[in-house]
Amino acid sequence: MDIRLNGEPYTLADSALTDLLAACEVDTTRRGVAVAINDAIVPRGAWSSTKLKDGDAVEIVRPHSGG
Amino acid sequence: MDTGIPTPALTIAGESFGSALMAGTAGYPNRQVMLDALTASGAEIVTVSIRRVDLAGPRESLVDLLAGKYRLLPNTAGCATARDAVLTAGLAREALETNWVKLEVVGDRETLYPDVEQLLSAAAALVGQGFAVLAYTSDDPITAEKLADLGCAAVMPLGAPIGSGLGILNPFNIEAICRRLTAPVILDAGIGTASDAARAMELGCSGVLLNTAIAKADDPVAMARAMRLGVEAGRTARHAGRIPKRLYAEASSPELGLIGS
Repeated sequence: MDIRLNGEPYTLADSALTDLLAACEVDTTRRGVAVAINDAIVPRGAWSSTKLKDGDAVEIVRPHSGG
Repeated sequence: MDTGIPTPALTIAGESFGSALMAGTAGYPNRQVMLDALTASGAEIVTVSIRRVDLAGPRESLVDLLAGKYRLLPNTAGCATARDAVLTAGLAREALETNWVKLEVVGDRETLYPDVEQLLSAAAALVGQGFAVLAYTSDDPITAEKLADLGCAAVMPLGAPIGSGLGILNPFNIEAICRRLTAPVILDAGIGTASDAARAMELGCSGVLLNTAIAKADDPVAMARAMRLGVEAGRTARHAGRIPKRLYAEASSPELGLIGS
């Protein structure tokens, strides 16, 4: 399945969002990460039940230095 | 000793802080200097941006470094539309479990001036979604008042363009904003050195937010301390009540008892 991940093309073996997060080395047990699919925020509590579809635009973000 | 200076130093959205200085986390020579500078600044609120994770591999988490010690204030820096700013604020709330957001919607890369139309629209949307919005804005008193009327938790006019270090270009506007608003006014952007921070407080600001002036100083830790002292000095002077300005001299030594008279 092909999605866009943080603006780049990305090919997935599995549709589970948690698999994608694991592939991105995101520690899902700690705060500091947020996910949006097609501009809709996916609350942390819904990550484990979320399936991705072909063509989804996924954003995975975290706090960075800023002013 | 009772200094007569009101405490807490700063209250925003019902939360109180012992320092009126807020500091950014970007552009320091390295992480250790950042941590030392933040400690020296006395800031209790520090700003962070929200960015895509680096898919090339995880980096040391800023949250792990700072959470627990500081209240993290996520910003929407880099957003050019209300839509992007609202989404970024939502992601920040999810990532940091805070409903506070420093709302920044810039209209132009060169000036980084706020796009007031988009800013007001985003502020209205975010206040409606329950955010405590700290709105970065121009030094225009009318826009500042509109943001306050929308229910922003703080209004943050710029002293000068972001990162310019030019100080407070229009102190009359900053003073007018402080006079007209009951919401806290935080001078955000433009500070170059400690006297600028003191001036902001003397003009009536409730606080000062700065980043580059500390991070890019020759000695960021020393400048952070200078900024803390500047903010404290300005705040204290404000409450002490300055003398009126006069066009002519007025002798401070007594006129009576002068020899030769």
